[in-house]
Amino acid sequence: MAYKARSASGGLFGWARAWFAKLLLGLAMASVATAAVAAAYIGDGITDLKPEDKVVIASPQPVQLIFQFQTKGAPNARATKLLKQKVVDTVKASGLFSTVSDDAVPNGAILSITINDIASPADMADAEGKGAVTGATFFVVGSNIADHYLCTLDYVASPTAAKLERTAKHSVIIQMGMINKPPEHAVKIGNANDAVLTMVSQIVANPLNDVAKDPGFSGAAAAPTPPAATTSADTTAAAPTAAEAPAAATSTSAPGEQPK
Amino acid sequence: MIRPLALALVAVALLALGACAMEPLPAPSATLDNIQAVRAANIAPLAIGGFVPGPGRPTEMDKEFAVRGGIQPAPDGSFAEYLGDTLAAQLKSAGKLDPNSALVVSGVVTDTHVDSAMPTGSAALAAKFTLIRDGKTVFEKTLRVNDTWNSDFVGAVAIPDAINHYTGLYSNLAGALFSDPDFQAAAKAQ
Repeated sequence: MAYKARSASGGLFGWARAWFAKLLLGLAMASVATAAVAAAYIGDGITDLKPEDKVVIASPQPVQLIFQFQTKGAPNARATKLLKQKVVDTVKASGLFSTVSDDAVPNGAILSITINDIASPADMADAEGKGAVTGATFFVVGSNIADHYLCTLDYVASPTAAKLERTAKHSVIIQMGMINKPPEHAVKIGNANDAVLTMVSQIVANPLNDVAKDPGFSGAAAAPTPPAATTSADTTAAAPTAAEAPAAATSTSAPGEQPK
Repeated sequence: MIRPLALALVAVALLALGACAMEPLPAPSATLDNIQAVRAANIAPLAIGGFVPGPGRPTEMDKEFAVRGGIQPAPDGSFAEYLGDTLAAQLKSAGKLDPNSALVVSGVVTDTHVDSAMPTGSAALAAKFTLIRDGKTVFEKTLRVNDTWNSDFVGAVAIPDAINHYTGLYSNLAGALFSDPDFQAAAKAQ
């Protein structure tokens, strides 16, 4: 799908935007533009699901999908539009649902996915500082700027079912400049577009697979809401529960191993 | 040598600071909270009536608004209509939108505000909602939502942040309506 990282028009990257703005300022101060050496990475905390780890549902049901991309907790309508198709494709590829629709479905099932580009004020200040240095040194002094993302996935199997929630964390790291080291705990992924799309796919697929392991996923009965589990590099995955769905291939591998 | 360089710097700075028009917002989408609120309220299917700007700022900001030189045009030419579209998106996703319903909700935007001042940005949105059932007014109330956030010095960060927080209020205001007990009672399925 067509995706472009955007800056002033409400793009995806929170503090990368700040970094970029300072970088431009640095370039303006020097009045010389030098070709940037850019590389994109994603964090290695979560990976693509292995086929043997994917939950299999015997009788997939339709679901209504709601997706929202947020920047620092605020809805980002443009980024939502840009990334929605990737999210839809990822949900469809899971095989957990018979159909994925924008509109209400007969069984009342709703899958709500929110990806939040998290950036604290300290992160922003750090990014701005690094961007200014890289720009002012004509990209000689490099910098790695990471954007961190939190995906919250909520599923209700029917209008009366309890809400099931899982979360996952991920990151995209953009490397600029000539003197630089590859970021730690990261995997090089083509360009920035590739990195963002891969991040979106992984940050959705993993908690979706986790929620499918919950006995309440099939919607046969309202299940008590379990405590939200987190899938990320520094926390453990959702504790697998015996899936009510038959033939469920329960994930046994904790996330954290990214193929190099 | 110094003067051309200084002029070049000024030119670049002016280009960076100059007003720029943002692309129009995409169509509003539903949120799980709003759908759940509509479901829990057990309201009847609704039709969407007219949504118009009230006098003053709502009219001045109905076509577009500016944040630090960044100009955000209204989707389909009217932010008041965007509020109606936002309500429609929530109701449609909850299976409660019926253009032929005898229950019609309409609104007048009574206040609208967005400010990316440092260090705290702020935004507000208020509207007077009216619900008519079979030609009779059964609900009329003004509801208001606000938001504040850390506003950055850098415009490239502050402008989209302000736009995101402000436009997010439309969905929040729809949620405030659906959660209002008087509205729920008036819109109850009969």
